[in-house]
Amino acid sequence: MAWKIGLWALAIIASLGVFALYTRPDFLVTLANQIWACF
Amino acid sequence: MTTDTKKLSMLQVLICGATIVTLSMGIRHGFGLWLQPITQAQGWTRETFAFALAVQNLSWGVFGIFAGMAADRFGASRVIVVGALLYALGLVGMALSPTGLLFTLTAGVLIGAAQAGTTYAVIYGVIGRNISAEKRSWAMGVAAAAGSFGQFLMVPVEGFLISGLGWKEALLVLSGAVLLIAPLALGLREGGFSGGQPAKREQTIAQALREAFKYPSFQLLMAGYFVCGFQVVFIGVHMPSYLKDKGLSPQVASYALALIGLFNVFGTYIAGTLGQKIAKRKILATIYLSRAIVIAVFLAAPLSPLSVYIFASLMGLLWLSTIPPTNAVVAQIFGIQHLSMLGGFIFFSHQIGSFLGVWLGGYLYDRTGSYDIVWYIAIALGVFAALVNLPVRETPIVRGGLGKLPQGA
Repeated sequence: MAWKIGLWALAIIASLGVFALYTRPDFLVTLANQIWACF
Repeated sequence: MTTDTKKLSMLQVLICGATIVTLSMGIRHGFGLWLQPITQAQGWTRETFAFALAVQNLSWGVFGIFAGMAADRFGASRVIVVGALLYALGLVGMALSPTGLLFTLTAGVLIGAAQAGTTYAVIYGVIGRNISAEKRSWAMGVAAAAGSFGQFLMVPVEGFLISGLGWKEALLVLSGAVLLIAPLALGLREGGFSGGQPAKREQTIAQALREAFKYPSFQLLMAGYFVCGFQVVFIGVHMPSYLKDKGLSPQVASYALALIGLFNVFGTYIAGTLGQKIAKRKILATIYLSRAIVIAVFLAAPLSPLSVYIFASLMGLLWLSTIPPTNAVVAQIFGIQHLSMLGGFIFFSHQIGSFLGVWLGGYLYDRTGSYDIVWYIAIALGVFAALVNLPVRETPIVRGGLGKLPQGA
């Protein structure tokens, strides 16, 4: 049970960490302009 | 494959399979970031770049069928190694192609073929053959969640690589990184395919195909997956323009992308886990109906950044969550001997839907000046997909009138 909670915690922390990468304003504009064109 | 061979451990299959899918799906997902630097450096139009990626999507769909056949016959690990080499070659070609034609052949055809050999259909074949039916849907959910996480992770990573190293160097770094897939494939080497001999099977490819395409449930699953491709890619490609038309800032679209990516990771995992407890046809029908409802409410409600974020979060939960139950139900009905090939055919249907979603979105926008009609089509298709998935028969197919069940079903 403990390892399951640990894995979930790790997954949530990793996902939130990646989400934080999306919060840089300059990068957001680049994303908006380009990434969607080739989703 | 022969039935008397030792199976791989579940942990080994999940670690190797999930890491391969993370790399393969992730690297490809950020290709849009190269649009501006490549077209500026080479003096090409956006159309040249977009055409190569459209070819890549179709190539992925077409080669997916053959990669699946090869994986079922000669083992997934060999196909994955070839896929990794093609991927690296394609990325180098993407960096160094001097003409639009060569760019289309490398970034389009080669990388499309590479994805066919390194993504879900091939990995799911290994999962099907090595993980018991009781845990198969869950394991497929884990692999799909890993692919979703790869997509979510690699977009910012590739953005940093481009800004830090330059676009060409970033592609060369990725071509080295994608070669990590080859040693990971060794962890998916199955005993039944050893010695380079084709696996022994009860059905030929032709028999398996005839059986599947005559079976109504397979046709219904293909129809559902077509809708999945249509909705996901239409929203992914055209939503930013839609939001821009409505006066929202580019940041809103970017946060929407991040939210879709974040919730997609958990949505795919949850769908795979639920597949162990609830009938997969009901899960699929619920996903498609929910998409239709979420889109309809999004269109009907007053548009604001908050409504976009709620829409993106809910769509993220439903985004790739169709993958585990669709593939698990194919394994359940037809068994695991031709799972990768049949998964490849179903995925081909998904890619046709994707192509139409992008194309029809652009075409109808040019004709009518709005996305309204395509949104309505997306809603109607969601209801259609929910209805066609309900009658899917999940019980293993009975062959030859002898009550013989497919292996591993």
